[in-house]
Amino acid sequence: MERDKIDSNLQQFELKGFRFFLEKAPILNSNEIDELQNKLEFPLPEMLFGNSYLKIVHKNLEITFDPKESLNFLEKDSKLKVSYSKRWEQSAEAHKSEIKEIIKPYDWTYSTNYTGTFRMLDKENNHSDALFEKSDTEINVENLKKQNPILFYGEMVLFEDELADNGTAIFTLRVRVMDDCFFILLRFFLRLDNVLFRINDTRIYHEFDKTYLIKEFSSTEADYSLVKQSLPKPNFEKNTTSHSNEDLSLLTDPNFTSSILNKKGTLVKKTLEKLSF
Amino acid sequence: MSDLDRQISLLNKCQLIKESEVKDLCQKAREILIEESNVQRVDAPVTICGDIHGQFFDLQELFKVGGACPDTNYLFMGDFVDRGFYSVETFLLLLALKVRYPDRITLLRGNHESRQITQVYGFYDECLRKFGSVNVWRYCCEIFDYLSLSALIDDKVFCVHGGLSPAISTLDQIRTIDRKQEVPHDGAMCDLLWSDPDEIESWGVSPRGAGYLFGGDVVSMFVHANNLDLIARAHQLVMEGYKLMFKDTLVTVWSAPNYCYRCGNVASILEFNEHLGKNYKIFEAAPHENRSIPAKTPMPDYFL
Repeated sequence: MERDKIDSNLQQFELKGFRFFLEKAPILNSNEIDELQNKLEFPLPEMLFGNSYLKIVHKNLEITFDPKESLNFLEKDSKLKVSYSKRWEQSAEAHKSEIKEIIKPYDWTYSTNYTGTFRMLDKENNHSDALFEKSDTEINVENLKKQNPILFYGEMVLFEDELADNGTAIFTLRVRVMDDCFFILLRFFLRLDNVLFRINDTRIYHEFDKTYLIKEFSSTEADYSLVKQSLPKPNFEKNTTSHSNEDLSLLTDPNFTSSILNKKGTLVKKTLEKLSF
Repeated sequence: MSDLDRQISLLNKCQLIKESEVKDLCQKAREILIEESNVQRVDAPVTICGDIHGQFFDLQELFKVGGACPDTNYLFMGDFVDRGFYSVETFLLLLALKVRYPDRITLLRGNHESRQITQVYGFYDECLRKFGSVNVWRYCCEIFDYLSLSALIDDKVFCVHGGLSPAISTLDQIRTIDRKQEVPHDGAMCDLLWSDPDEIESWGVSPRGAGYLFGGDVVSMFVHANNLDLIARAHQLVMEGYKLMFKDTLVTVWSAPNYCYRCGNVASILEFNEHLGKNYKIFEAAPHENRSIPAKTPMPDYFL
């Protein structure tokens, strides 16, 4: 199928010198997958929305959220395995002589800590990385809680993988622009069944009357069992023979689990930075 | 009109049948499925289909493109349920067709036809929501255990949900598996439903600590040892609907268009004529399927 046949949709918006471009496209096709896979040398997430992006342009500053680029920011030394890997590996011992290839280890949970691509454009159109500095200035959450009209809103999925039905890894972005500020939440959510939950959040906040933006990154984890214990008690309406909580579908909901992680999870890392322009 | 025909016509309209009718249907299905081999023999002409995942209206699209059952013979390679919004209607329709036309439709087990997996990925939740109890889920899970593991079309095309296993080199070894159980976490039965082909030599192990990958030489050996032309499998999403590998000795067929209502992929089915001549048919998502899903433009939300 030709790329131009597929309906992608581009949203554009401009406010106070900031131009927003949000384009949502289908998952990569087989050729695009092969090409990128050869470059990265590891299997890609099953659903990679590689041609989707959010781009924000202001004067010579260009901010991009690029699904392909985010795969360069996976954990270098991930030790995570599925819950039953010990048993599986023991049973695989029997076929050891036939297994020639050990797939080069990579972060198969796709736990990216990508926070966006921030670049400055000089007069000759050369890009250079925009430099952040450490900061104590927190995001003005109280301002964000105000129900000021949202003038531009967008959501996109950067990638998603079902971890061969051992959970979910999903990387999403939300953006909203109000009259006085804009706010972006970039969230990597991992549910590894019977092992753990992990959320890597990047929040980007800018008030239009300031000359800087704030970037907050946090990584939170919790044992799977801890979150599972927090499931609401089942409330079957009628005709049930079971009282055990067999419905685990709420665990697939990042909104539910992130609220549990906020309360009970372990904050693994948090950084606060500022970019002046 | 018989009860069964009435149920089929209800299910064809995406309407539910009664819990007691589901129980009866499952009992009848069990009597048929229990007689089927782990390597069920199927005659061409037949049309093979990959994952459906509860995308009911897309399944109707599939029947439009491929012909109605029983006018066309069908072989479904598993993953009928989970993720889509109509797993119950999808599985019950296919099961009712199986009971009505046992020689015209073959249903293989996918890794989602499992108690553990359906509790997480939607089918359990959907049964509870649509019937107010988990009984229907239980009846269906019992049937999952009876679904065949693989099929062989005219002795030449081997069909399976996932792929090969290092514990299996001949079809006879598959025939000896006791399949009437929950899908195990390891061993031959698990591999048949879970493994994936890859451009590697021999067998590979995934870094996630479970699951085999098999290369072209493994396929070539298996094809040769069992005097086959082709291995057909499902299990992996393909943007173009199908994907040939290893000099056309293995094909992945994917039959859930616009998977999860957001991937933008097309789907395919593979028709074999009576001489095993192949014809791939591509189809797109039914406009209908999108009815109950969130609008393309999401509602603004004061996220923090």
